[in-house]
Amino acid sequence: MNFAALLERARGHASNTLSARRMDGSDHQVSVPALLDDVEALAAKLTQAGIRPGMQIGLQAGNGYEYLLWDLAAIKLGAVIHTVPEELPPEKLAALVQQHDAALWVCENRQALPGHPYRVDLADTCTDHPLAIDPAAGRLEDQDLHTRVYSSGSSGYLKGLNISRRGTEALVSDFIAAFALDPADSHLIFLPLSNYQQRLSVYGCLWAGASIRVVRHTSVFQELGAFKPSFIVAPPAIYENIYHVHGRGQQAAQKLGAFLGGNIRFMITGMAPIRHELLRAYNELGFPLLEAYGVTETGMIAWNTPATQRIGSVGRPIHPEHVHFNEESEVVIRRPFPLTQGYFDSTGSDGAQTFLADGTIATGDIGALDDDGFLYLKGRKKEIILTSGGAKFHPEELERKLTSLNGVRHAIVLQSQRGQEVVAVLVTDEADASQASGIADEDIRALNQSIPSYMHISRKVITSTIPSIDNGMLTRNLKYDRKGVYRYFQQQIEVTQA
Amino acid sequence: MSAIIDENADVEKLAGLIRLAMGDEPPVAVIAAQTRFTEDLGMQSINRLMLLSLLEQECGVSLERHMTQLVELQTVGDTARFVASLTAGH
Repeated sequence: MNFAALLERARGHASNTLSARRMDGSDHQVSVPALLDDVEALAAKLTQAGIRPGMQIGLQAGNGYEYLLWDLAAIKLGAVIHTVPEELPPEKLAALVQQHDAALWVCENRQALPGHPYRVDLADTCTDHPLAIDPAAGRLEDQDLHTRVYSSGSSGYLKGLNISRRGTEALVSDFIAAFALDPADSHLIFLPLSNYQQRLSVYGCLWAGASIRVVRHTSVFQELGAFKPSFIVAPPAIYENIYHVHGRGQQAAQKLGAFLGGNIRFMITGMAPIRHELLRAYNELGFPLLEAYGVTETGMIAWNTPATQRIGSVGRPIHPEHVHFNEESEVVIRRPFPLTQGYFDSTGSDGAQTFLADGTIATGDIGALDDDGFLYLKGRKKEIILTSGGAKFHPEELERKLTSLNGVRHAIVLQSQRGQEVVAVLVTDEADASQASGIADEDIRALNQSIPSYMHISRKVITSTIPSIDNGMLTRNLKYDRKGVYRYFQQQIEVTQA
Repeated sequence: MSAIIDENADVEKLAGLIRLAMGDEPPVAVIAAQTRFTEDLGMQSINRLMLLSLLEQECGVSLERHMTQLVELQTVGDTARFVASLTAGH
């Protein structure tokens, strides 16, 4: 894939479609050439308004037809889309806008940026409403800068990422080749387009001629059956939920097939650890569920594919020569065209810890290759527990053992700050809570006997409070927010044992 | 009286779908109109979306345009009433 030829090539796939909801509320399905006509019209309007290559176009919107028009029109013009997460509140958006020299800001939320002279309402994308752009807006001269996006940092603040044009082209090309995308494919996108992964999928589908449907995440379950995609990308929680409801009992394969639309060729997951049992269950039922691994800073690193899969691994590295390990077994990537050039709007230490001076990108993930070249992840570097005796281990190792105990729905292993003890937070069913304490005691004693002494669990906290984004125990990516879990149970974790 | 019976039936139907959507036994023994999805049942937003897709099939009414309002509702009873109003107007 290359951007210079993307739109022209996409026009050649005349029989493929794109469908999404428009701002006027209509559910809009168009052929790809008709989509590109709308893109051209918007690009012409932008040119007339004074947009030139390298100018930034700010965009805050949820998934929809107009989002794609702005993205593709920017490609046509060589402008830089500066996309902001949909959920960023208006006051934070207003502060962010002050720091950036965008020619205009396109907003879906009518309450966002009131009175801003260069604000465009997303609903006016396809109307005759004239566009006002900031005549003093600068142009970014870097030819390789494709777009600016944000991802959430570990402590909840936003990290800005300068996305590379060549990095995007390389990654999308790898994806099309490894998964053999072609015009018979159809892709349902329901994760936010403000997360760059989804835009990569759009470019891949346009290049390969696959049909695309873009919806908001709230209707994902209805849309699977209605659109009948041949592939989807989703976090583990989605597959867990679908399996629990439709993948068990008699005629599970038929039920699951019907729910997924009957046309699935493969499904990709990542973003958080997934249970191996779940991967096995889907694959045994005939639905290839493939774990993949990447970080936005460098792009996809490894993936299982329909042709090559090993459950439990995140697949073989896409380019084995790019993948290295430092002395702490951290996965570090050295590649000619990483997906991201570097951070903007981020603290200095973040950048220096990730984009290393020697040109490698540190992922923060601890991993190892097996003899056949499959990559296994063992946890996050920053989550390593360092015991008072100087031993190190990953909480996930213990968590996997703990969640296999009867009645334990979630297990989060932390370290107390006061005594440096290993503490297990165990989420059990409320009905079992009175008994769970006794059962867990026995189980933990048995578990402690089977593991090295430095990993011994000194204390447990039994709760029926399920981790969620709302209570601060899950991140937006549905991973355990260990700091949040610690804060929630700090009193019980730090209690001095009698 | 009949409205109350209908509402109880709706809540009971919803309770069955909640059990299905959660995949496991919910952490409370009885699901009633005042039961809250997050605080009492510990439902994740994904469970809620699955519940609404099951509800759509069960009631034969499209909820797609109402998803934003539906995911804001806090209790089983509020959801039962909202869907009943849609079904009545269908």
